[in-house]
Amino acid sequence: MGKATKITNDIRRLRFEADEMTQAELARQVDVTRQTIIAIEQGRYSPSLEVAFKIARAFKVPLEAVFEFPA
Amino acid sequence: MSYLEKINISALIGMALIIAWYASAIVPQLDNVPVEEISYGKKMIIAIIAHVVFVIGASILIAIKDRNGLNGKFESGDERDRRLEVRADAIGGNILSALIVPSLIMLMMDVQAFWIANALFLSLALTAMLSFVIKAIDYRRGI
Repeated sequence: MGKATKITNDIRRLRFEADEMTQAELARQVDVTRQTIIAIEQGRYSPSLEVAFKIARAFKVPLEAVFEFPA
Repeated sequence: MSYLEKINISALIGMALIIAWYASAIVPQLDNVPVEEISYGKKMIIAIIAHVVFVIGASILIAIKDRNGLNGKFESGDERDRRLEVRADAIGGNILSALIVPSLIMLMMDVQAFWIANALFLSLALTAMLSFVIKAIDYRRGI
């Protein structure tokens, strides 16, 4: 399936660096379903600002360290 | 596949089965029974109730089978599910508005109630199916 959004993210790498956090654990922290985390990682869904900030907060990094919008 | 995505697929399958059943019950009669004598009302109500029961039953079965998540917490819908629902409903609503017009025209032309009722029923059923299909595609393709 082609990507639905131009926004890219580094969630998979950040999860690995965060003691190999699982998608389920990140989903629990962000209060979304695991399938939504999967969809975000695969570029099939652009999260709301609120969810994007929650993801960044879960990794204790700035928003720009998680998501990138190409110029 | 999330819980709501599975419910959507179940609803799509249920609607297809219901439409097929209703068509098989009504269409053969068109050949040899006058339209005003075809009993469609009860079958239409049965079809509607059957779909509701089917979806509820499927939801329960899927919920029992799919009790996943941390600490056994049931995974309910989130913002992505809601966004997909809103998008599918918006598209479906626009399609329904267009499909209603032929029924209105038939009403103005005093066409037999059988045709008007079935045109409306088909409009609702097809719109619902379209919404289910759009959601199924969006769940896989993304939005």
